[in-house]
Amino acid sequence: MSTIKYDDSSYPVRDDLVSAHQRAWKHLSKAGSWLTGDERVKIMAETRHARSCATCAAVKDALSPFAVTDAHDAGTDLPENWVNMIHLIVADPGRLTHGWYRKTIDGGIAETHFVEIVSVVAHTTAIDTFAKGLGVPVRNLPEPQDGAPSHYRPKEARQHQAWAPNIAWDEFGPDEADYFVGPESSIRRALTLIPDEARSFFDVTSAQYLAGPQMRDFSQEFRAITHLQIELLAARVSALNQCTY
Amino acid sequence: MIEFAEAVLSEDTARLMAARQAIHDTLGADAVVDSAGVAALFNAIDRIADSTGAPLEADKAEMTAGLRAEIGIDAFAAQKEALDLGAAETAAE
Repeated sequence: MSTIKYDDSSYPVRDDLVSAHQRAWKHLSKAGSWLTGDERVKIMAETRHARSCATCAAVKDALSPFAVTDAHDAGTDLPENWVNMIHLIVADPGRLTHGWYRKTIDGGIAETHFVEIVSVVAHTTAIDTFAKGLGVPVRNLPEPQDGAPSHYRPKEARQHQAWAPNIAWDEFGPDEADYFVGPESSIRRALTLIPDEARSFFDVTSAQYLAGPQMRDFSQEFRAITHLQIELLAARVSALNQCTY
Repeated sequence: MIEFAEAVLSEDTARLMAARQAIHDTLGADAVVDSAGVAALFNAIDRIADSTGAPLEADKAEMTAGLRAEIGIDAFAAQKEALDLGAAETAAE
């Protein structure tokens, strides 16, 4: 099975960061809650393919991302509505709307599948962009593992203010008690319709950014860049992505 | 830092190489790794927030209201509303 190493990097990568990426790659290669390992690895491949899609380039240039009706250049045999969803999240996340979300769900992608696809796209984006920042090629995709999805949907997940259902910070059940620790956070709730995706993504977050308690501990620095420098980077990236969160 | 953030999201390889080198020269090799980690993480987390409609927490919205208005973040939300309105009008025609 393919795993992640950064032996080719000119800059030594922390062991905890390599380990987090290895755990993520393994997680992505296996069946999730609603998708098979094969589907998940194809989503990773489609996420990469979207970066060179001509229709995606047109979407970014258009006054409205929904004005472009040309077919996206699919790199996999995933269903067309999955491809459209993946490509728009990759190409133009800042202009995704509640109407787009509703149309995507009404178009046949279940909320559970939607959230799992978002998670796989996000994991892939985090690790691929890291490689780009480091100046090394994207890592080989993992080989998909056999196995069936668990079909686990936490009964506490329901509709709140966010578009996608999630678990409220004070409504989690015993199976998710490990995750709902620390101050309430909307972004940490975002993937909790699929708790294992939330756990995995925020495992990567702890290694690439900071763990929860470290974010608010200004008495010491945990990285080679300061809290202030970290937040400056994060804010600039988010502004460029037109992220309103 | 800002130059690195902009370069890593761009397709300009030379610009990214220069930004990476500048961080290395001023802060060291570990800072390059940590800068890449943070920029990449937020490039992903933005996509989670924007595709699931994760709302900004009320207390954070209140604390940052002035800053958000000043640097134009509020315009992004207004743009989304306009896009949905435009899509609805197109569908109705």
